[in-house]
Formats: sequence, structure tokens, C-alpha cells
Amino acid sequence: MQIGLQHYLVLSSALFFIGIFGILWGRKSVLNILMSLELTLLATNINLVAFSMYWKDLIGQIFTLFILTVAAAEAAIGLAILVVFNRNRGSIEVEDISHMRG
Amino acid sequence: MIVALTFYIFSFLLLGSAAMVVFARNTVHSVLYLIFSFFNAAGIFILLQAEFIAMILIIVYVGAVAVLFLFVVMMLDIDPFQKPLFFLRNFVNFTKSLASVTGFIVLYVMLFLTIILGFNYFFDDYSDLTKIKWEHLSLLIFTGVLVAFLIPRRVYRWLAGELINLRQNVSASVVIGILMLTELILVAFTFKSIDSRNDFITSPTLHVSKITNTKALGMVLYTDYLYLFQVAGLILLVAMIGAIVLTYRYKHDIKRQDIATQLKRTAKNTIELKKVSLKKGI
Repeated sequence: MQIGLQHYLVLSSALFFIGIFGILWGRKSVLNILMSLELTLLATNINLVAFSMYWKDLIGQIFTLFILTVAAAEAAIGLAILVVFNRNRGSIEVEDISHMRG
Repeated sequence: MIVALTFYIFSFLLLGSAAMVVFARNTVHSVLYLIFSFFNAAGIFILLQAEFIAMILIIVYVGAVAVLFLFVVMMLDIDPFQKPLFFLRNFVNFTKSLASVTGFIVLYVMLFLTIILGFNYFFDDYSDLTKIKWEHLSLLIFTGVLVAFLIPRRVYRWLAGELINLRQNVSASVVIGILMLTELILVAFTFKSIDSRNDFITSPTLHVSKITNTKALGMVLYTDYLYLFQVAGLILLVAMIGAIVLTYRYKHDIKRQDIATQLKRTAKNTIELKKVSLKKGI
């Protein structure tokens, strides 16, 4: 059985939609949203690396490295905001975050 | 055969643990499943012969990001059973999200088909917009009218409401709309056939027997993408400073070390010699 590009694409889109589903459904706390966001970024990375290997072109892996960097930075900042919010309000539930009336 | 077996094991574990990240009731369990899914993704990357990315994934995600998540979860003292058990307790929300994701998938597939089929049908030469096949375009318009009749009236009413809303803040939306339209036209004009695949391979990879993945990546990353690499470092620096500034709390009622004051202090301006006269004291 040959594992081709399609297998990786199906895997990454399934993972992406699991992540999107987590963002939409796991709206109880912001932490779950952040974790689902990490899942979607991981799916993007799998997609990029699969195409990089398919075309024999390294640029996909370079972009994966940059996405990893940005994801790490985003997680750090997001968690810092979360800690500050929890310190000020005593809760990280999404329904409580409505001070901006957005 | 063994490759296929490995792929399926890794991908099923990856998808299963990703689903458990979303569905686990305890947030700590969610983070542990996240770590497990990153391990499986690293396995997938090794199957794709991208060893460097796999190792970086384990170091950065499992070693740093997931541990950060774990720290925050344990620091925040969240009620572990706040989330509903699967879809039983929160059925409406679950169905809404499922509907949204299904709609998202449908939209995704439709967009994909439109782009691929549209460009295949309408343009013989992919980069030339003038060679539209009109019979196909008329077929598309016919299908569009048919679909327009099939859409229920509620959707049109909603659209009308949206249009009324749009008129109230028309300037911003018009600017965004014009920008998006320009981008679409630009994309349509610069679209190239995928047959000329040698044109867009910018950094070709040698075979694994000739060069290791890490060496090949380094040779590209430190030459062609040097500035982007520096910008990535800058982003990490900004993230580090931002996280420290956000979470730093100054307390006034505790003693803390002040290095500048300590360094300024010398024997000359702190020690004072006094002449003490006999049997009198100071």
C-alpha cells in the first residue's frame, strides 16, 4: 500500500477541522480555545511539510519553522494575557469576557 | 506496507488524541493529550523525512509550549469538571458547532472546486483572462440562478438585514470590499498552471542519500531566508518581553534588591571616621 500526498492532506484537513470544532465548541474557557488553535497550526504544518516533500522543495519546511516560531510566541502572549485576566477578574470563562461589549 | 502501517497508527493516534484535546473534561488531561498529539505529529514528520522539523516539534512544543500550558492550567486553579461530558449536557451548542464545521467543510470544498474547475474550464491559457469560454460561463450562470431559487427565503431576509447594517457603516466595508476584490483580481491574473512546476520550486532538495535534512535546511535558511530568520528571532524577543511585562507585578511592601544602588555604594560615602575623645563617647 502506497502512502501518497492525499493521505497526508486528508489527515491534515481532518486535524484542522477538529481544531476549528474545538474553537467553536470548547467555548467554556479560553485555554481550550488556545489549545485548539495549536491543533489547527499543527495541521497547517503537516500540510506544508507534505507538499514540501511532494514537490521536493524545502521552502515548505522553512515556512513550517516560521509558523512554529509564531505559534510559540502566540501561546506565550496568550497565556500571559490569560494569567493577567484571571488575576484581575478571577475567571477565564469566555462568557465573562464581555467588557468591551464586542 | 510497514510505512503504511506506521502512517495509519500515527495518524489514528494523532486524530484520536486531538479529539480528546477538545472533548476531555479535565483541562490537565487536555494538555496531556495535546502533548501526545504533538508526539504523533513528530512521527508523521519523520515519515515524511523531515527529521529536523520533527525534533524541533518535540523540543519546542512538548518541551516549552505544552509545559507552559500545563503550568498555567495548574496555576489558574480551574474547576476540572466545568466542561460538559461530550454532547449530552450541551446538545444545542454541540449541534450548532457541528453545523458550523459542516458548513465550513462544504464552503472549503466548494471554493476548491470553483477555483480548480473554474480555471480549468474557462481559461485555456491559465494566465490569460480574455480567453473565456462563453458556453461554460452561461452554464455557470444557469446553475447560479437555479441555486438562487433553491435558497430559502429566510436567507434572503437575513442578507437584506445584513445589507441594511452594511449601509450604516458603509465606508469601512467598502474599503475592505474593494481591497479584497483587488486581491482576487490580482490572484486571478497571476495564476499559473501547475504544469510548469519547475518555475516555482525555489529551493530544490537533494535526495536523502546525498544530504541530511538538517544540513539542507540550514543551507537554505541561513542564506536565502536570513532576514526572515532574524525577524523570527525578533518576534520571539517581543513575545518574551511582552509576556514578562504583562505578568510582572510590582509590590511596594516587600524589600527587593536594587542593583544600581548597591553598585553606587562605596566606602567613601558610607563609612565615616570620627574622632572619639577619651571618656566622653560620641
